[in-house]
Amino acid sequence: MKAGEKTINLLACIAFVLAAGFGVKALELWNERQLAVEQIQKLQMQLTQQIRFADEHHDYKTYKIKLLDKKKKLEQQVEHNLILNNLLQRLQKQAQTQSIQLSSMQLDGKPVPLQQGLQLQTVKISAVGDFYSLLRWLRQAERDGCKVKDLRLQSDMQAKEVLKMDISLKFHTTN
Amino acid sequence: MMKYGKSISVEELFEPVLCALRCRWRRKHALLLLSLQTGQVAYWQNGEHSWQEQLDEECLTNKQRLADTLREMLLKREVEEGAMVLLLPAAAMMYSEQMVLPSMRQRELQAALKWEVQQSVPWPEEGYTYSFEATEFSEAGEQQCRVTFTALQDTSRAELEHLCSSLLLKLQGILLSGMTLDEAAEKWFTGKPLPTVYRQKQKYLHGAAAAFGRWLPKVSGAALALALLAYGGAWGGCYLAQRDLQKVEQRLAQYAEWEQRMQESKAVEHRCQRLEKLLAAAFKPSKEAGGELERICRQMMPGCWLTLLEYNGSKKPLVLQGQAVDNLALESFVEQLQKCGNYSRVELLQSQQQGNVLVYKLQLQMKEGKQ
Repeated sequence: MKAGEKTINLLACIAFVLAAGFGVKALELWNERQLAVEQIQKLQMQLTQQIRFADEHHDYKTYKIKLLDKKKKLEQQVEHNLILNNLLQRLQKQAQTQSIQLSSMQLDGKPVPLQQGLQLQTVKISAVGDFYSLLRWLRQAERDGCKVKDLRLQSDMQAKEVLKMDISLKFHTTN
Repeated sequence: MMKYGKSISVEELFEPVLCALRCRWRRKHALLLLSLQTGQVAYWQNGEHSWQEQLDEECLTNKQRLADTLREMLLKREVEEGAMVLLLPAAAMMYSEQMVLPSMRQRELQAALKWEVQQSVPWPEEGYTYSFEATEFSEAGEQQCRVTFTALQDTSRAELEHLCSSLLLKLQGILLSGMTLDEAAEKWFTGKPLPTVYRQKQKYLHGAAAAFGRWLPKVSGAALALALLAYGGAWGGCYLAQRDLQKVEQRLAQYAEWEQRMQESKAVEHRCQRLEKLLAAAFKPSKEAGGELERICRQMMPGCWLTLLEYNGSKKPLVLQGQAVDNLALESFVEQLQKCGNYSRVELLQSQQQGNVLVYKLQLQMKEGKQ
């Protein structure tokens, strides 16, 4: 092999090594670029969301007041409808208004847990009053979301107008 | 691997096996030997000498006559089509030289000889094929190697190949070293390798190697250029991506306050959604029990009273107990309950006269749709 040929072959080998090195480096850079592009896409999406939010709620103060107001109302509704003490108090008040005497009111067993943090509590109530008052009171309780598990309505033959009602009501409550 | 202080290659190790295999294979086939130096033609079948003939001198100088004479001879002797043939070319076709070189390995000898042959042979570098035979000897206590190389021009080789193909013979080799027909036949049938025999595959490999040598600088240059281009492209792409990323980050920094607001309102909205779901799941107004009481009251007939009503949910039967003035009043009440269409079944469980009133007990099954 001539000396010139040897030099050329040596240079060719060096070129191959360099090509491999540059190839590996190019691959690394390309991967880096891919990661940067993914990051850009992510941030761009975030930016778009922020711009859209800023456009939609340029009067942010009013929007915030409305939102907090809505939240407050919902919390009040939850407190009104899903807190057991409030529910029982309301039942007592309604009975008082209808001239019904609640002779006993007691919790029946432990609350049964349901989905979304709800619980189901059964309450046994004994009430005395005339038929129409009891009917109105029962309707109101059902309208407020109570579910009647069982009911026993009994007349007293001594006092014909007065009825005794033993009722088990199920209440949805929250912690 | 060492043997008597000398290294042996893998080829040398397997040579006896290969030799046996070659011998077995060659003996199965017919062989035609043609010497263009002496004009002798000999034929072997199944390793046995079959016949031998002598060509006239004119055949050796006139190629057309040689081909015609050989064709006639093969037809006359009924030589099978595709028989193998070994050629011994005339000395005038070849260039031969002998030289003494220091003792060296086969590969080193090949490399050294390539250069020597190039210097000696008067033909163009790529216009011939050569082979050599080396014999080692000792002179003044120094191991030396006597090398005889013989070269054949590619044009002559092509002519010989053409002659064989026109006679429908399979050319196995062109023996460049000056040997007789019998020596050549013996070497062939004992399964010896034919290093001096021209082989098409060897030519292909040499050609491939030469092509590789020619293309190596170009290919490596192209690979380097491509790699540089890829590197440049990737670097540029990376730089542009980083620049874009910085721009987006700067814009995001401008909206930092809105980001905070968005997070706050998201949290409140999420809370509202949760409360709404809670209320929707829990708060379902109904009038099942109240409605049932009302319906029963509407069906009451004069002369009938209720003393007890038991409601155990819409799926279980409703139990009524009461008093009636007589059977007729009770029957009318039961009929009324059946007609109203709210109950699938009205069952009188008990009816008993107690003093001047009739005490009764009824069981009502709600209809599916009315539940």
